[in-house]
Amino acid sequence: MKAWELRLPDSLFTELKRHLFPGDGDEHGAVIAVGAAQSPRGRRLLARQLFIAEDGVDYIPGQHGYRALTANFVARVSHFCAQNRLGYLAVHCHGGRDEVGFSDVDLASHRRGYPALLDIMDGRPVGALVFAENAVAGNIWSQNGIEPLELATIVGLNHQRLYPVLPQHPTISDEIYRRQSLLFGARGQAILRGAKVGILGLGGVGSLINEWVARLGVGEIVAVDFDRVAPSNRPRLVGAAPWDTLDFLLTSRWLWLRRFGERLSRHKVRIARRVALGANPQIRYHAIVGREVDAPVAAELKDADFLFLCADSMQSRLMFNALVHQYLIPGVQIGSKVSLDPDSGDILDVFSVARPVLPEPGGGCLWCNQLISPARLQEEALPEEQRRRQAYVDDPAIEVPSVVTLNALAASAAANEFMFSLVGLHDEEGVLPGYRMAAPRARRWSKVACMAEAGCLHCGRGKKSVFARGDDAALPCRAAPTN
Amino acid sequence: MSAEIKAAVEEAIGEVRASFASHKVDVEADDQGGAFARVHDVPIGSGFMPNLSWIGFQITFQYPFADVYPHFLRSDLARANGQPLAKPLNPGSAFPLPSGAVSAVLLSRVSRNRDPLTDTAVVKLAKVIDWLRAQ
Amino acid sequence: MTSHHSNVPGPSGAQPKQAVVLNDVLFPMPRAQMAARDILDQCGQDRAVVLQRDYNSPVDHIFADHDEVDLRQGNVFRTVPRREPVAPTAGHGPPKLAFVADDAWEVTVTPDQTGRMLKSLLGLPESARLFRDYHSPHDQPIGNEEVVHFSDGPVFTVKELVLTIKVNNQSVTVHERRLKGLQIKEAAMAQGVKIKLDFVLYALDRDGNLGPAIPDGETVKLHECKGFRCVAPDDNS
Repeated sequence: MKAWELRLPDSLFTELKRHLFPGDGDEHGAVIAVGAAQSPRGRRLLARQLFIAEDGVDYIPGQHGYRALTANFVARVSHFCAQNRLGYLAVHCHGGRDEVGFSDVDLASHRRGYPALLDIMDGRPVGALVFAENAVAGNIWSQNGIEPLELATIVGLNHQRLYPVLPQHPTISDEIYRRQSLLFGARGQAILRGAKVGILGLGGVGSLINEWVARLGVGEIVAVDFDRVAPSNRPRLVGAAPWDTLDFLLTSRWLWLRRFGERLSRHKVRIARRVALGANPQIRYHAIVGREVDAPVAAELKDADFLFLCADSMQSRLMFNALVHQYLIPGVQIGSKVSLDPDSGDILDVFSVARPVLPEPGGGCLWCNQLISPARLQEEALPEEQRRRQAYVDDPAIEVPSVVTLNALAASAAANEFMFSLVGLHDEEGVLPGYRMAAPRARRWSKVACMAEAGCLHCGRGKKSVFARGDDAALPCRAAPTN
Repeated sequence: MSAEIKAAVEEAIGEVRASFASHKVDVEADDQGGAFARVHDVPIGSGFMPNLSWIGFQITFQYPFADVYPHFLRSDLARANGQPLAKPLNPGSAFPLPSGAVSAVLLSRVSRNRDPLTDTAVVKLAKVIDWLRAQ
Repeated sequence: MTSHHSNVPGPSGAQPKQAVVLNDVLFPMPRAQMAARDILDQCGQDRAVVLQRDYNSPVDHIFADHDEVDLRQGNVFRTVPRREPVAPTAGHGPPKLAFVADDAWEVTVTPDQTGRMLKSLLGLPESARLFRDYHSPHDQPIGNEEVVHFSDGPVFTVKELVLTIKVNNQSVTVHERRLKGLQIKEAAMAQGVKIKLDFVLYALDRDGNLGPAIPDGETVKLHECKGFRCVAPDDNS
């Protein structure tokens, strides 16, 4: 049976921890309403909303044990969870630090009350968590029986992982990673090896991310791109070689041969796979020729630990933003832009940007920060011919500049964002990352604070928001044709 | 080719039907989960001849995040004052229904500061009708 | 109000049972026509109050003690402090009418109801067997499409009632329209719902909102509830 993991946004965990461990050494309680997601990799519970049990009101001296949640609190919160199609996780704390488990009183209480809660939840998970300062244990009740929680991942600027017992971390990493593991230790290397990363777009930026992430020793990559390499983009694609584009066909004076050559040019994801395997032969690599807006492709991404958005379509941005918030997967959107005066060709602006997006209000939601254009979403859904007729297509004679070193500027910021987050080495704790923007001509980096709208359908907590709903909400995928 | 219409698009179509209950509303699925809708016999004001038109639009599969535009009207639409149709109205276009394109006048009005919760397809249609009636 | 003022005897010539609702409490009455003072006496009211018929309007009618009251013209009353002389009143709306089934009543201003309408008013399933209650062993069955007149007798009885309620989303079959909290839990437990008798019971109203805890001794009108939740009282999770 696949393992259970709980993922919590940093702000929710901070609030919970403050309540459970205020420094009085006493026991406190709460409930977390959770979404759920299932994939071949495992089962995830996604913390959506926290209900604090007020001491003396909702959490009182118990008949069977030291403290107990009142029936009124349990009834009210379980009813909320049932009405909102969420699972129910009761929480309390014990003393201790690196190891925790349920007492016999706790387990007896579960046996007494959880069968009724399972009926109320109508098939959604019911469970209990007990926290110590640096540990968490959990029992998840479902139609499959009672199963333990394997770990809890707190998704923030720095990721944290809590286990029932602090695991013995490896002390030695592979020799080939020795130099980098001097920074984050064998433990950090193990975290990278266990990570699954999604890369959306394997063009100029994505191909750089792909190589670096592979060289870091990440264990699994899902790479998505529908496009093929061409002579015009080959210089910016890491690992692309002349035989990938069959130049001799593409430069033929015969149109049919040129078209044939285009059809035979290698897909970008295949080149990326070759590069990744060359860097890390043990990597599990999924090269998907396709679009992230197709449901089977999105399904491969929903259990990732991190997402890199290196594609520049609005549909990709919307899907990325949805995955981040619906499945509590942190990510970075990367881009660089050179804008020229259309008449004179003068350089107007050059910037590179890495936009970390955490599943938090103010965490960089692309929708709240107006980085997803509703008009462009509509245009991108139209067939190219219709877009041309409705004059949405840019003049193909006008090309937008793209330079590998500018791509590398934002890509390296994003790659380091990923690395420091995953191994927990960012300086700041509990803050929101903000966007990082480089103005290379001025040799300046700046941080941009992010906005949040309370009613956002991705990062908000309103009834219609998909935040932490996992498989219960629909991703913005296009439907497959039926005829 | 068509595909099953996504739930959010179905909901939007339901709202259009409810708001235009006395009008014929045709719906055709597109091939990605969106749909084309056409509301018939909409009074568009005395500024146009004829002053009743069908209004068609496509709700694409990433609605409610995607805007709903352009809108299409009957191809023989003309200004009552005899002046030619000017931007944002574009004559000589076609409403690209899957069952066959229909000649149309295109009206392109992009929503600014769009809120997916409140700027629904039916609200957008109402704004388009208000704009037409104000001409 | 319909002009149908019959006192139609039932099978075997028996008279239909009568009842009044006084100050929201149900009292059986021996016949349809009684002096106001007699009604108050049967309801245990002292002489400091007089009888007022409740109409669906701001103006209600006050009866002097010796006034004859015809219950077929309305059987919902309240008491008001006695003030002499009793002021005459006029221009009131339709009287409130209490239809009664097995000691539970519902108030309406519509005197003519089909069997189906009456069952819906009383919160009974359509499959319930409804009978007009007479002062005899033989009660009159009422069909779903049959029209019943209030003035023919407002008291009914239900036989072989089968109601299905939901406790923690599990179906539970009961045979009464009103049950105490403990009885609901007992029925649920007997039918396999995974609760214990010391669990705390809550009702969901028709909008699905959770109500307050229901004590074991409190009577619940089942037809007013969409379902029930029942949870352990002491959760050490």
